[in-house]
Amino acid sequence: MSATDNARILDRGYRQFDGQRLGIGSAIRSTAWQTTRSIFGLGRKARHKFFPMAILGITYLIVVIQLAAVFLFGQETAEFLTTNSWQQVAPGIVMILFAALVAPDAIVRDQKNGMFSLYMSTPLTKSTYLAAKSFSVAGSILLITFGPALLYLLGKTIKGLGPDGVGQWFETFARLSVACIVLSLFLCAFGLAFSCFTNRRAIASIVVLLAYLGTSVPSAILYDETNIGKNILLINPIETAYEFGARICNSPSIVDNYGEITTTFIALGFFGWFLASSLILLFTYQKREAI
Amino acid sequence: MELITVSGLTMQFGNHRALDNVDFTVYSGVTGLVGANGAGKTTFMSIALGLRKPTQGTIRVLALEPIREGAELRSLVSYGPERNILPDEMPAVDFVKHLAEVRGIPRKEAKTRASDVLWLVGLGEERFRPIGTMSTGQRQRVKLAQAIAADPKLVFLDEPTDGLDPLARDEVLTLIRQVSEEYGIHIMISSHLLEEVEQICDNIVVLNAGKLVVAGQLDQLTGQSTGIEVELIPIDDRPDAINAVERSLREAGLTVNRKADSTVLRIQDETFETPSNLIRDAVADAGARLHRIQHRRRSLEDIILDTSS
Repeated sequence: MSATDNARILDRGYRQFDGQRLGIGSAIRSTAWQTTRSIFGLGRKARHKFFPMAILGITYLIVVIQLAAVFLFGQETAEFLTTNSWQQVAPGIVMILFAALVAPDAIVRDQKNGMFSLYMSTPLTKSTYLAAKSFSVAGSILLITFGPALLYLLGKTIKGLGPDGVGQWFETFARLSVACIVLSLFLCAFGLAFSCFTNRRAIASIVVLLAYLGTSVPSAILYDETNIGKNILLINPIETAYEFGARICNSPSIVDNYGEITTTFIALGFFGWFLASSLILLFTYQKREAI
Repeated sequence: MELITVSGLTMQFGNHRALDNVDFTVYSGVTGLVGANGAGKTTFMSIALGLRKPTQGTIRVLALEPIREGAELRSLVSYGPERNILPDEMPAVDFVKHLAEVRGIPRKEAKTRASDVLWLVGLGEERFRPIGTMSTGQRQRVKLAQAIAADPKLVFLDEPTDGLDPLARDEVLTLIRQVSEEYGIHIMISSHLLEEVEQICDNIVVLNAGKLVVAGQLDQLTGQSTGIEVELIPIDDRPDAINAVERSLREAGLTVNRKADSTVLRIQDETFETPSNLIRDAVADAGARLHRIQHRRRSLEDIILDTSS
């Protein structure tokens, strides 16, 4: 064997690409993945990982502790702690904190570092760009909605405290999945809609939190102090979405006073807020200059 | 090969007309889109990329209609923005790879192409460095790398030498020329510096306040001789020699321009038939010493001034 038989070309240099170009699906997938990496600080310094990982860790830790108690102390503890998996979905304030953290990271950064212009010079359009960002943000939020709830459902099932029978188990699983997806999409739309007005990430996070406070506080005051009626609570977007999830899961109301509102109004309130958030986002981006 | 054809293109923003009934054709090679700030360069690029719908007129880029076939067009072209702001924490190789993937290159291929193209622009050793730690010149190279990584047919570079010192500017311009010549990627650069456009461009499009000043192939525009330039060397013991040459040429019927005390005689040549033997004889008879004799070509500045006037 001569020395050249094992020779390899190590530096191929620049060359033309003769293969098949992947379509818009690949562009969306790549953008969504890159955004998710950015949200969780992957490939970045440790300080960028801290907050998202901390929230993620806390939500799972709570479930793990509860499951440990259930495994150690049995049914009574399980019933004392929770009644079903929907209640393992993180509380609204944790949700909104997480949404206020990840949504600005997904879109505000692109405005500031010029990536938005670059994305617009690729096959991505404003709509497909927002779709990619939404996949990433909703997917990230799903990790703290669906993840802990599923973990709890599985834990209880293993312990023999889950839903009765295979049929009921799958029904519970399906309801939980739909509710978590719906809630994640909602939080994603809400978070993106209120963080798209600025190119400063911290300000965007504050705007999202203020939008939450600006709706939740007045709704509670108006409900308590006036005779407008229970439907006034629907102006609180996060708790309306939370309650909508509870209705999908056939779970008791977690939020005070929402139990009195009919499911039709809860659904109307939910879809109204979802539509409004989506329209704010789309309209803002439609007017935004790409270059 | 026609890359871009523009006809009656107008872009109106409220009361401001960014492009005003512009017609031109861009051919293969490197094209300079020249104009002062606010001339309409960036507006034109955004229309060519299908990101803005013109108020009037038509444009075809690579035989595609940017608004109707925008996504398809943008998979064949690339863009390098003017701003030097890029994702600071991202290593250059990840940045280039990601944008190549978004432009339709499969993941594995994008990874190798990102490295290759960063080597090509001279950042091979630096490719794992976060972009935020790079100099302005290196960032300009990263912008060029991301633009060519997906092997586009046409690249739009908005002020690619913005913020660079003369040395770094020459290096980037040489790189742009090399990319076009060696890899057959057509490039349109916007610039407000005439000399850098003259240095590397095959074609030019000059805009002024949204109006087309001149467009065409640089060779054809500058190639027309505007006369002959004769430079003589002063001789101490024959101080009148240069005057004698000038006088002799005038007597022969030529139009000669000379600035006071200059050693250069500019012979206007309307017919392009100035007999060089006339000059030779005039120099010999006057006992003058010739330094150079050459056809005078128009500079880009001459073209713009002529067209504007």
